[in-house]
Amino acid sequence: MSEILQKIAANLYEGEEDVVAALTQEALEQGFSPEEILADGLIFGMDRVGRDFKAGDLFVPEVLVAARAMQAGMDVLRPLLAESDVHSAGTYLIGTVAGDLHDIGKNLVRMMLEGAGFQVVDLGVDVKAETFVAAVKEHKPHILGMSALLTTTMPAMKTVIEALEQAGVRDKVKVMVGGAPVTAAYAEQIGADAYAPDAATAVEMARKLVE
Amino acid sequence: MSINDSIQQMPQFRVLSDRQIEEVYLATLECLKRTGVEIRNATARELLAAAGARVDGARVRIPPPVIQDAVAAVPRSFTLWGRDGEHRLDIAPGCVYFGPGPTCTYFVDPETGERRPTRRGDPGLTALVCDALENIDYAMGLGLMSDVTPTLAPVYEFAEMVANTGKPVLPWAYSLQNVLDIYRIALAVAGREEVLRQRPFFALFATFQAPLVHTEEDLCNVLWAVEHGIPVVYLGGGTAGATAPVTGAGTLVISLAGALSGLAILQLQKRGAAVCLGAVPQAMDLRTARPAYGGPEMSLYSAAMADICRYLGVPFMGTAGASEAKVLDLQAAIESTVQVLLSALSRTALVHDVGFLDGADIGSLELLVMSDEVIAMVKRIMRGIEVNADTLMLDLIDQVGPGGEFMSARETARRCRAEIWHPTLWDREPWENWEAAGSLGMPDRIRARLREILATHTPPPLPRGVAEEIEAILMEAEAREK
Ligand code: B12
Repeated sequence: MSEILQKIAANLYEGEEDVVAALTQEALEQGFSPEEILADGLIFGMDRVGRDFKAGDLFVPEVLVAARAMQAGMDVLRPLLAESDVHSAGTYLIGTVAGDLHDIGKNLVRMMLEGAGFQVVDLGVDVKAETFVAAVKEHKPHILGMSALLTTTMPAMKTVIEALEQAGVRDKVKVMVGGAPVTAAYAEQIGADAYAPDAATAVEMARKLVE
Repeated sequence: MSINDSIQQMPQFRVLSDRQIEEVYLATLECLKRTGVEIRNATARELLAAAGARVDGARVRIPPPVIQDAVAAVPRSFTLWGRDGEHRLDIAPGCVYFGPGPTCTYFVDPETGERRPTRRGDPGLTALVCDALENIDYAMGLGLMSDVTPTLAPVYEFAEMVANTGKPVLPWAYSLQNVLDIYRIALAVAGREEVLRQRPFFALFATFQAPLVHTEEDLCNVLWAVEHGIPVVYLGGGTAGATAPVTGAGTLVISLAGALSGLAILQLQKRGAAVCLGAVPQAMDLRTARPAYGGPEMSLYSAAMADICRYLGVPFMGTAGASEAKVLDLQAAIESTVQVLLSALSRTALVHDVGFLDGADIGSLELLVMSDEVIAMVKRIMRGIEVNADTLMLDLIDQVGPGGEFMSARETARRCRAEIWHPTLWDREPWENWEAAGSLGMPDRIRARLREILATHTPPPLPRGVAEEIEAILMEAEAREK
């Protein structure tokens, strides 16, 4: 592989967003095609980030700055790539359910999804069922993710699923749930499509769900 | 434990120098003035606006004098009384008191030792165990009941706790309605409102969010509490690397800014109201993205917060006796013990979360029982070494002379119990005796102690008729929820 693409991958791994943007520009000037830079530079680097995070060698903030560097490179390439090459990994709607104000976990899931190339719409905390339904209709996401950290607010996830059914959009969207007290068994019980105990698994599951 | 630094020669411990404290405090004042806090309660915003704060939507920027005034107004100490009139906690400089924490999703079943969802009866058992343990000074529920009307869980919890201990209790609440129910229960126990005001046997535990947010519900609850003479423990604080900067100093600023802006609101509502500020300034484990309750940063930053609060003259609540371990194992013992030692060394007035496993997800009575012994040991360390003519014992040393022994000396018999700490759970038997007694390890002895407490301890009874009154209050609350 060429030196400059290797440098892009290495700087992406280090989270050097400005350097990645500049190198991407430079690679274009050297005559590399946008597709080559994307595959052998940016995605190549991001794959290594993913592998090392899973192995426990990288920490979350390191992954997040690497993802930002990836975006910086993408911003340079996007106008030049064919529509079909930039399609996002999928659209993901996320929020913390009504009555619940915990958002650290939800935010982390959002950031990791963004890093993995998902288009994420974040509805924030204390999100009412109607708001979720309206947003599903408006954004037509592939996946709806709900977070609940309190035993008292977990049932609100079921309420949302029922509201989606009533609005006739339940089959238009996959539903994922998570949060410390939520379990796989509970997810199944309320008719969700998937559950993830942490953000890395959430990304993996999301990828599977959109396939 | 009450610690008198001037009479005894106490072990000295500080994390921050005076200059560092000053710097963190000034930085916090600047943060509150420049960045401000989000306050999601209209009354609180109005109070601050009237005092000179700049209100911009929910964002409130608070000038330093408002904070300094609150610091001057809050009592340096206040007293919580057990409902039995015997247990008295002076939340005052130099005193350190330990108790459990609130609302764990799971509970270690005291019979089977298995992790299961917390249910009715668990907070009652926790209060009973707190009542029995000499070194646990107040009760919190250690679990959030999963099998009651969810919105009433805090009320059921308080009802169980007051019935099972004569020591002070720290309830929490989702809503103002919960606070009203809890207050009615407390009134039923105390008999008259004056009694409750003069000798409050509970303080309301409430939380603020990091970074820099006060929620509508919590503010509603604490504003009502101070208005009704109920002491408040207002706790929150940043998680380093997640809801606070990754640095210790930045985490202190976020924690202190939340606490002091809360204090300002409460002192504006009721000047002189009894308030204890709290922080849980742990670090985020940035590999697993779970807060590291048992990490060294938690102990270090909490001790630093205690330094700052002592300097400001505001009572402080910290954290100890907690761990990330999933069961009561070596990790749990090590993490919880380091925290207990540092909390005591830093003179943290109220220390909570004793008995937390799995980062606040599991309540463990076994860990509570073990920590009781750790606290006893640490109290001995905190008593320090008394140095005077009497304790130097030069006459005795001269009498005994070279090559003699001190074991049969009258002074040794007279002072041995006071001078040398005696464990009740640690093993110090000769090998043969230990083996003959069944080769029990520490976990076995902890379980045996727990079983004994649960089987034999009886808390002071509630006054006649009060249990029925409490039952009626719960029924009314249920009817309202339907
Ligand atoms: C930080 C915290 C707070 C902060 C919240 C700050 C904020 N901005 O979020 C404050 C102090 C405000 C707070 C308040 C309260 N809290 Co709180 N809190 C916690 C704590 C300590 C950590 C939560 C956290 O952020 N973890 C780190 C993140 C990264 O992990 P996570 O949220 O679990 O998310 C991960 C996974 O669950 C998953 N995930 C999360 N969401 C989603 C969504 C999807 C779609 C997917 C796929 C995956 C997924 O991926 C995430 C990343 O790996 C937990 C204890 C714990 N161990 O969870 C208690 C805890 C959740 N709180 C609890 C309680 C009870 C409360 C309060 C009622 C106050 C109290 N203790 O008295 C209030 C309620 C406020 C409200 N109405 O929401 C209890 C809940 C018990 C229960 N079963 O109901 C807990 C378990 C602890 C305890 N013993 O008190 N809390």
